Formats: sequence, C-alpha cells, structure tokens
Amino acid sequence: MRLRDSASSTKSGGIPKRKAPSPAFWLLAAVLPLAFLVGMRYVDAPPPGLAAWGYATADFAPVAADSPDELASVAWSTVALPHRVDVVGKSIDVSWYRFAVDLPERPADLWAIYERRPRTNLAMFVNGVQLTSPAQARRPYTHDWAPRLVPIPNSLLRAGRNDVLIRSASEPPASRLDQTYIGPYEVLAAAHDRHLLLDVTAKQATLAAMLLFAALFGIIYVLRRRDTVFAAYGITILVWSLHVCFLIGPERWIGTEAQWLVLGEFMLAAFVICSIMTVHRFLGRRPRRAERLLVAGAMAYLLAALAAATFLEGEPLRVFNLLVGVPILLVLSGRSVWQLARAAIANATIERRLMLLCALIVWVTGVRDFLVHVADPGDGPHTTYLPYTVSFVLLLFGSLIMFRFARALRETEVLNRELEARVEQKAAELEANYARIRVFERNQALAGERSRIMRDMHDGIGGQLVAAIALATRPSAARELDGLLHEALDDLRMMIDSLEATEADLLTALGMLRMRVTNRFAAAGIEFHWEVTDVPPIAGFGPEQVLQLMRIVQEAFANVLKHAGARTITVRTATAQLTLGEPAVAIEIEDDGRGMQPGRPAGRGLANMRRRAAALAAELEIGTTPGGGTRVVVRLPLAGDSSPRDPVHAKLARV
Amino acid sequence: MPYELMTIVYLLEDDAVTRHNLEERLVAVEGIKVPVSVGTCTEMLTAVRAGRPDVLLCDLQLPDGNGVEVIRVARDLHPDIEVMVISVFGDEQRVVTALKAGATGYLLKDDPSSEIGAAISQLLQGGSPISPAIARYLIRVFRPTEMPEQTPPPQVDSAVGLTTRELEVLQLAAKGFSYGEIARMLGISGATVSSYTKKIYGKLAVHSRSEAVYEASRLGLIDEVRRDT
Repeated sequence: MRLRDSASSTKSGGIPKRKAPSPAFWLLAAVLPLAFLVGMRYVDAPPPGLAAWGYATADFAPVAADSPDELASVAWSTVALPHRVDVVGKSIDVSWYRFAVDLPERPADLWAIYERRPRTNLAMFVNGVQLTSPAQARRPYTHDWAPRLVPIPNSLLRAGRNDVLIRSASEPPASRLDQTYIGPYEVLAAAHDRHLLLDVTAKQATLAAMLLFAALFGIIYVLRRRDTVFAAYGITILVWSLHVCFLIGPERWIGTEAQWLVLGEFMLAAFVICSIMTVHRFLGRRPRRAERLLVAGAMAYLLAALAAATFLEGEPLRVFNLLVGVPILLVLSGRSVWQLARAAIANATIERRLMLLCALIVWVTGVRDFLVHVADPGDGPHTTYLPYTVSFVLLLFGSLIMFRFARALRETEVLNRELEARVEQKAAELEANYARIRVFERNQALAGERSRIMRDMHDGIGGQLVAAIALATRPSAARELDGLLHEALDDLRMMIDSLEATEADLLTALGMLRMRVTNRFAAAGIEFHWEVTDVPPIAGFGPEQVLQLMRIVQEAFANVLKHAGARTITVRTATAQLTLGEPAVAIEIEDDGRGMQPGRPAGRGLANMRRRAAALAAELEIGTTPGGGTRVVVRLPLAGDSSPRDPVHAKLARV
Repeated sequence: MPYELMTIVYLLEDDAVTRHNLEERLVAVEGIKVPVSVGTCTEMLTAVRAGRPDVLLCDLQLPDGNGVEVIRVARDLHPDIEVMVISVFGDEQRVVTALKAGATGYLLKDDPSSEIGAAISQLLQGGSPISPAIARYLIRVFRPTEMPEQTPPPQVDSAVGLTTRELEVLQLAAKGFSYGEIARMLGISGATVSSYTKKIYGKLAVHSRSEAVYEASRLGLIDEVRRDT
C-alpha cells in the first residue's frame, strides 16, 4: 500500500487518469474551515449567565505578603483582567488582587470563586478568612489549564461590602491572573464542568488516541521502510501529542519555568515543520535542502529561545514570537497548503482532496488563533482553537489511512489469490510439458532399445540363420546344421537373458550362461569350476553391456569346447586394476587344455572378442596358464565406459 | 515295466511338430508313458478331469487360452501332481508365471531325452530345477522391503516367508552355482538342495495367491475370489 497517491507515480507509466476537483469541492474547501471556526466558537461560548458574575478589573498590589493582615498600609492600583506582569529579579513573585463584592443581603445559596485558567498558585481569602492555602499546591504553575472552582462558606459572606483577596504566587517569567468570577455556586459550577471537559478531558482523550496512532504508524513504518510518509505522519502526530501534553500537563519535570514554556511553544513550531515534511512525502517530493534548512532553522531558534529563557528575565521573546515566529510558520505551512491545492487541481484523487481539506482547516484555524492573539496581545481569555482542530483532523486522517491500509491488505489478499491461481495454472502447464517430454524420452529410449535388439539379432541369430539356410541346401550337412541352429538358439537365449538382467547383476548373467552350456561341457567331459565371488557394481552396466560381455565369455567357452581338449574349465571373478590403475572387475576363464597353438592364426572369434571388449572399454588379455592351458581375462572398469555412449541408452536406464 | 509303475505324463503343446518331437523324446525315456498329448487347453482340461497324470507338461501360449489356467485347474483337481512348463527359452518371465500358478519345474523345448528324463525324475523325487535369474527373482519377491511396489499385503501368512537356509540356497543359485556346488558349500545333499527349491516354489504360489486375494479385496472383489477358492 502507498499512502502517497498514484498521481505522482503515474509520470513513469500507467494510465494517467487526471481529474480536476469540482466547484462543489472548492465550495466545501471554503466553507468547511469557516464552519469549523463557527462550530468551535459555539462550543467555546461562555456558559449562560456566567458573564454577569465576571470582574473586568481588580485592585492589584505586588506585595510579598503572606496574609491579608499585612496589607493594611498597601497602596492598591486598579488593573484590567486578565492581568499579566513579567517576573523580574526574583525567583518567586507574590501579588495580591482585591475584589469588592457588594451584597444587598447575605445570599441564601452557596457562592464560589471560579478561575478558568489559574496558571499560578492561588490562595483565596473572603473577609479575612482563608479558603485555600498556597501550601496545598506543590509549586507555582503557569501551565495549569484546569479550571478551579472554590466554594465560599455561607457564614463568611455578609450584607454590604465583602472583601475577596487572591494571593497569586508565581515563578518567572510572568505572574498572571485570569478573568475571575465570584457568584452563585450553581452557575459557576456549570461553567466549571463545561470548561473542564473542553480544556482538560477532551485534550486528554485526543492525546491518548493520538499516541495510539503514532505507535501504529511507527509499526507500519518499521514493517514498510519504503513508505517514509508513514514515519513522517507518525512523527507529526507524536510532536503534536507532546504539544498537547504541554498544554494539559500540570507538572514540570525539567529546567526552569521559562525554559519549559519555550519547549512547549517549540513543539508547535516542530509540529508545523513535521506537517510540511509529511506533505512533501505525501506528494512524493523530497526537497532535501529546503527540509534541512527548515530543521536547522528550527533548531537554531530553539537554542536561541532556550538561551534567552535561561539568561534573560521575563518573556523577552513573547512579542517576537507572536509577531515574527508565528507568521513565519503560517507562511511556511501556507505554502504546503498551496502545494496540496495545486496537486489537487492537477489530479483530484480522494486522498489529495481530503489532505487539502484537512490542511486548510488547520491552517485557517492557525490564522484565526494568530489574529485573535494579535488583536489582544495580553494574556486574554480567548481559547486557541488549534488544539481541537489539529487533533480532530489528525485523528480523522489517521483513521482514513488505517482504512486505506486495511483495504490495501484486502487487495493484496485478492491479488495473492489470483497469483496463486496463476501459479497453479503454470504448474499444471509445466507438468503437462514434463509429461510430454517424459513420453517423448520414453519413446526415444524404447526406439533406441528396439534398434539395439535389431542390431543384436542381426549380429547373432540373423547371420547364423543365413548360414543355416546355406547349409540346408547341402544334403550331407545335417550335423553341422544342427550345431548351427543350436548356436542360433543359444544366442537368442543369451539376448533374452541379457534383457532380463535388469539389475545388471554380473554373477547372475554369468550363471545363466553357465546353465545354458552346462550340458555341452558335461557331454564333452569337461568339469566346471565355478569360483565366482561378489564384485562391486559396475557403473552403467545395462543389458547392452551384459550381452557384450556374455558374447565374449561365450566365445571363450566355445574355444574351450572346440579346441582345448581340456578336462576342467574354471570361471573366476575378482576385483582388479586396469593397466592405468583404475579399479576394475576381472572375469577369468581358464582351462587346462593344450593352450593356444602358436602356429594357428587368430580366428574370427578372437577378433570379435577384442572388438566387443573395446566396446565395453574393457581390457582383454588372452594368455597361457603355467599348466599350459589358456586363460582369458576380461577387466571391466568400475567407472563404466567413460567414452560417450548412446545417449538414448543412458535415458532408458533412468526411465 | 507294468503300466501302474510307469510315470504318466500328459503333454500340452500346440505346435504339432514340436509336440511329436517332445513325445518321441519322452517315450524314449524308460518308464515314461504319454497317454495324453494334445494341442489345446480345452482338450487338456477334459483330460485332467477324466484322469490323473503324474506329471503335466504344459506350454503357456496356446491357441484357445493360457496354459496357466490349465495348470491351476489341474493343481486344484490333483494337488499332488507335478507340473512342468515347457518353454523355448526358459526365461524368467514365463517360468515365474507358471511357478505362481503352481508349476514346480520347467523344460526347454530342445532339451535332449536324457535331460527330460533327469528333470522328471528329479521332480518325482521331490526336487525342482532353478536358474540364476529365477533365484534372483525369488530373492527380490521374498525381500519386500527393497521393492516397495511388491510389498506383500499384511494378511499374507508368515509361513510363506523364506527360511535362512532357503535364502542361502537362493543366493548361491543366483550366483550361478550348481546344486552340487551349493550342497558342498552348505554341507547338505544335492537332493536336499533341490527339495528346498521345490518348497520355495510352493511358497511363491501361496504368496502370489494371497497377493491376488489381497488385491481383490482391495478392489472390492473379495467375495468372487472366495467363491473361486
């Protein structure tokens, strides 16, 4: 899945489906941010009846007194509320505010004092009696936005003038008092509940949701490093969450109050910069230099602001921030809004339109907050809308991305299923191809085997039958004919035996040959000495090789029968070596006859034996035994015939 | 020799020339009589139902059927007769087919009279011939783990397994040793060796029959087979 929509990547290919936003969208883009502001104004409207109990001014005395008793000789001045002074030259500032509450008679119902944003440590006194103690608070705050409602016991109030004193203790850089309400508890409590929901509970809830989203996007980014937009978005949410933390977090845990304030304000700037970078990634742009400049500028400002907060007193950068810093942020973020708008004009995908709407809402709210602050640079009672807008938009957009992510996952699943189906189809095709190839190979192998059998028949029985026919024309050749026909039958049996030698078992093949000739040797009075032993298997020793070897051995047998005049024949197998030292199996046929006659020319039989041995890559040795008999030794290499053999044959062995 | 003491041989061979030639060679052996010499399965089936031979000599490929069927019927009717298959080549495939049907020996069509006489008397004395290829085949059949596709069914009677001695005989025969040589090597008599062979052939017939039953039961044909047997 890509959060960044397809339009930016269609440049490289694909179907460019461009669509400009409709006028209705622009109308929506114009109306929605304004509707948002109106909605916020409605939500933040003062609760009914509250204004009647508010005090626009108070008597103010910057005196570090602990109790009202010490205020007898103090000179009071009148100040407008909300009131704010820089704290200069001391670590704790204590100021007193005085309200005169004129009552025609002692009220029957419960009264209370209400502060929407206390932000300092307040102790309250009614007619000299203390309601709350400064010691109840752990430390003077400047960031406690939680509204505070303090009930006044009825007994303390009286008809006529009532003195309400508020002692405010504050750390640098500033001391404040927000708009103060003194009136019936019921009215003030309604306002308190509403403001508590708006200022604290709502922000806490969105904070929890945003932290969850930030974690989710972080996980998505870890899983998909390619989509940096997820990381950027997650960081943006995280930075904004920190900003909200500063707004509602009552407890400072590092630095001085001034530094803490700088950090809180910097989070807003960091949020703007992160948003800009998110937009870059969303649009598929990576202006590295501009981004580095932005980050470097923000860091430089942070350091400068921290230094100022550390070494200068009061809030020296307050006006600078409002009149220079915030406008810079507004311009930069405005540029991002403009980029989004142009992208939406170029191709109005749903993502671009939504992103533009969100950015517009946030930006317009930012401008509104800025203008409200500029119009009233004091620490006024106005609520900044940005926290609500941004949280809302971030959550909305986060949900959208999650939905898209889920949809993309579903699409991926569908795609996977299609892919699986296609793979299966391909596999089936391949299998069919292989089956065809196997059939083809088998047919080839069978054809090769058939042609071998034809060759063997031609080599053996064919020639013998031709000779037999020739003999048959001579009337006196019955005995010779009988011999020749038996030879032909023997050869046929040998062929069949060789075909059955499926495991190429050398000893069994030799045994079959022995069985075939046993009668003739017995008739000639020659005794068989069978001295075979198990031999290692010979590579590639198939029917063709068996038949070649059998013919060699048979020729040797025939020679013994015909010429040797022997009493015994010994057949022996053993492991041996070729002349070059390769391991081999030796088959020896030895008789105790007259041996080879030196004068007798090598017959056709011997030539055939040599030819067949060569075809087996075997060594053939024909010699004389110490006793004078003949010894034929065939040595078959264990590695088989390494010379290229009929490839069809090798295949047959596999099939 | 009185007729009752003579060996009665029934001969089934479709080629007339070969049949007559065989008949002549059989009769040439002393003590052998061939009262039935026919060329079709039908004729031979009629003959074995009517009378009992000592030895049935039987070709496999016949014009009106397979000799294997004749062998089966003859063995069912007369369990103690000897059956020999006659073949041109004495090749493993044909001989094994006949052995599975219950044959206990084989003859080559060109064997001289002396061979035929020796073979028949060997059979009657309780022995059977064997070739190295058949020995090798039997080793494979009775050692099923090495040939997965020939794994015998689990219900095969353990009595059809080979004894150690029988396996030794087969192993030596497969290497081409003669009965005489095997007898010397194992320290037993030649007749004993050939009687081992005959027992092994009997086991092969039982084995292939139970294998057939197993196959049939696997295919759902078991009832028919039971009715047959």
